[in-house]
Amino acid sequence: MGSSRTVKWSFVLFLIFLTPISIFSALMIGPADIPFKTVISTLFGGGDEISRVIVLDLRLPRVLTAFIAGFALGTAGTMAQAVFKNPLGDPYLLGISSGASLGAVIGFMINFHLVPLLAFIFAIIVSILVYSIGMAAGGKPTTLILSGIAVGMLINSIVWYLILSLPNLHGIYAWFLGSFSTVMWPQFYIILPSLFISIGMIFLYRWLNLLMLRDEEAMSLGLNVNVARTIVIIFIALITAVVVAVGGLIGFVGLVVPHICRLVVGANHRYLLPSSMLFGGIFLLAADTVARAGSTEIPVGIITALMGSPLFIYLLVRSHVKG
Amino acid sequence: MVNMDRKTVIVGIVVIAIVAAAIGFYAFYVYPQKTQGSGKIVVKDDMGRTVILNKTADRVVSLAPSNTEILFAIGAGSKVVGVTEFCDYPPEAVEGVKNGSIAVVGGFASDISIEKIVSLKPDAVFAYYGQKSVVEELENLSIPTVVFNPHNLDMIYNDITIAGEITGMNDGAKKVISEMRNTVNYVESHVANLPAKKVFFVAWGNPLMTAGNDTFINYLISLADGKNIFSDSSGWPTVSMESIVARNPDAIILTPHCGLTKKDVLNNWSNEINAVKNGSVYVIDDDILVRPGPRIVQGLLAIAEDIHPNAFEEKSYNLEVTEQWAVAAP
Repeated sequence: MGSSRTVKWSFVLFLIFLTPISIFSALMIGPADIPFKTVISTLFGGGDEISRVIVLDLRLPRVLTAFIAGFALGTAGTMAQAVFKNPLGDPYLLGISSGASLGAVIGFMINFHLVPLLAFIFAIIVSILVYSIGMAAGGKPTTLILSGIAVGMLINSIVWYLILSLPNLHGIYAWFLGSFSTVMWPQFYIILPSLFISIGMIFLYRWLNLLMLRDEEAMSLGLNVNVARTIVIIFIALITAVVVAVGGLIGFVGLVVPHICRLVVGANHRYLLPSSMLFGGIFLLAADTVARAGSTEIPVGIITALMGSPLFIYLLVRSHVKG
Repeated sequence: MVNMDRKTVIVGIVVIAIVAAAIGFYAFYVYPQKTQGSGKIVVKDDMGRTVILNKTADRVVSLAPSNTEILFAIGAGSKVVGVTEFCDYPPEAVEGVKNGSIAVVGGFASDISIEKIVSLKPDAVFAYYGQKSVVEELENLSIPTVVFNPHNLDMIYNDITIAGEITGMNDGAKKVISEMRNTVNYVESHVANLPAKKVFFVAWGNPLMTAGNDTFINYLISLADGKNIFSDSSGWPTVSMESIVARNPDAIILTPHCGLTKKDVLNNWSNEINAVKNGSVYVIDDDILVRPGPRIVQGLLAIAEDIHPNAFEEKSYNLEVTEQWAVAAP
C-alpha cells in the first residue's frame, strides 16, 4: 500500500478525534424534540425531568452501546479476516450467528429475559463445536471456514424449524436484523467488557500480521501458529457473542469495515486494527442514529448495509482505478 | 391502424356497455336467484369471490383460529372435521382434536396439508387471507372455499352470516351477531363523551413492537375511545423507548405473549410515562385482540375497561398474569 506512515497515523488520529464528536452529535438526535441547548445542559446536570430521562437514561446508554458494538465488530472482523486468511472473513463465520440464533429462539420460546444469555451461551458452544470439527479435519483456515458453514447449516435448519412453531414472527425477524431499540444502562454494562477486550487486542497486532503469512513462514518467524490461531479465535468468539447477545445479528460491520479501513491504511494491523475499531464504532453509531431518528425504528442491520455498501463499492472501484 | 369515425366509436362503446350490463345482471341477479331457487347456497367472501354450494355443508374445515371460533359460536361445531394446530378455542374444539373427531390439517399456510383436507371430504373450507396458494389448490379440486379477511366489526358480522348460511346455522349466526352488537353498544354507551386516552400497545417486547393504524388492535383502541400513540405508522413497527416517553401514553396494554410483564414495565420503564406513574399497565389475552371472531368484542370491552376504569361500574375482564407465558407451548 502506498500511503505513508504519516497518512496512516493521521487517519487513526482523525478517527480518535471524530469519536467524541459523533457521540455528541448522536445525543442531539432522536424522535423526541429536545433543543440542542437543553441536551447540553442535561448532560452537565441540568435539564428538566423528562429531558433527563430521554438524554441520560435512554439516549446515552444506547449511543454508547451502539458505538461499543461497532467497535467490537470492527475488531472481531479484522481478526477474523487475518486468522482465516480470507477477505470474506467475518466474525459470524465461526457458527456464532447460527448458535446465537438458536439460543435466541429457545429464549423466545421459554423466557424472553433469557434471550441475551442463551444467545451468548449457544454462540460460544457452537463456535467451540465448529473449532473442534475444524481442528479434527486438520485445522487449516479453509477447513475452519468449511466446518463453520457445515455446522451453521445444521443449526440453522433447527432454528428455522423452531421458528415455524412460533406465533409471533415479527419480533424474531427483527432480532435477526439487529436492533438496539430496548437498550438502557443494563445492556450497556453487558456490552462494556467487549470494549475492553477489543482494546486489548491491539497488543496482538504482530500475531495478526504473522497469521496472514503462510503457516511455515509464520513459524519460521517464531510464531506458534496453532496456539496463536486458537487464542485469536477464542477472542473473536467472546467479543462477537457479547455483541450479538445485546444487539442481535447486526451484519455488514464486521465484514466490510476492515476492508474499508484496509483501503486507507493498508494491511498492517498496527494501523488496521485501531482504524477498524474506531471506524466500526462510528459507523454503527451513525447507522443506529439513523435507525432511531424517526418516529418508528428501522432495524439497524438494514441501515448498515444501505449506508455501507455504496461507500464500499466506491472505495473498491477507486482503489482499482488508482492502481 | 383502422381509421374509425366518432360515430363508430360511440356505437362500439354503447354495445360493449350493454353486453357488460347484461352479463353483470345475469351474474349478480339472475344467476344467484336461479341458484337460490334450486336450493343452492351462493355467498360472496371477503376477497370478492363468489362461492356456490349445492347444499348446506355438513362437514367443514377451518384454516384459522378465528374461523374455528366463529363456527363453534354459531353452533356448527359438530360439523367441524378439520382445524389448524393454532385453533385452541373453544374447549370443545380442543377436546375434538384430542378425542380424534377433529383432525389437524396443519399450521398457517405453507404447512397446511391439502391431502389431509381432501381426505376429510369437506363440503366447505373456511380459509383466511394469506392462504392464497392453498385456496387455489382447493378450488382446482372443486372444494368450495370461502376466504375471510375482515377489517372491521361489520365485516366480521358478515363473515359470521356467511358461515351461518354455509352451515345452515343462520339463527345461530344472528344470535352471535346480536350478542356482539350488545357488547359493542354497552362499551360505546359507557365511553361516549369521555376524553380519549392515549394508549401504547406492546405487540413484542424486544425489540419493542407495536400496532400501526391498519391493524385490528388500532381499530379496537379507537372504538374503546382510546388513541393509539403510534397510529401515524402502519403494520407492526418497531419503536424506541424515547418515542414512547415523548408520546407519553396514559395506558399501556401488554399481552401474555409479548415477553414483558406488568412488573417489568412498572419497574424498568420511566416514571415520566403517565401510564407507569399511575400504574395503568394492563395485560389482555392477545387471542381476543387479534382474532377477528366472536370474542373480538371481549377484547374491545377489556380495552375500554382498562383505559377508562372509572366509566364502568364493575370490571368484567381481568387477566392477572404475574409470570410471562411461554411464546409457544413446546
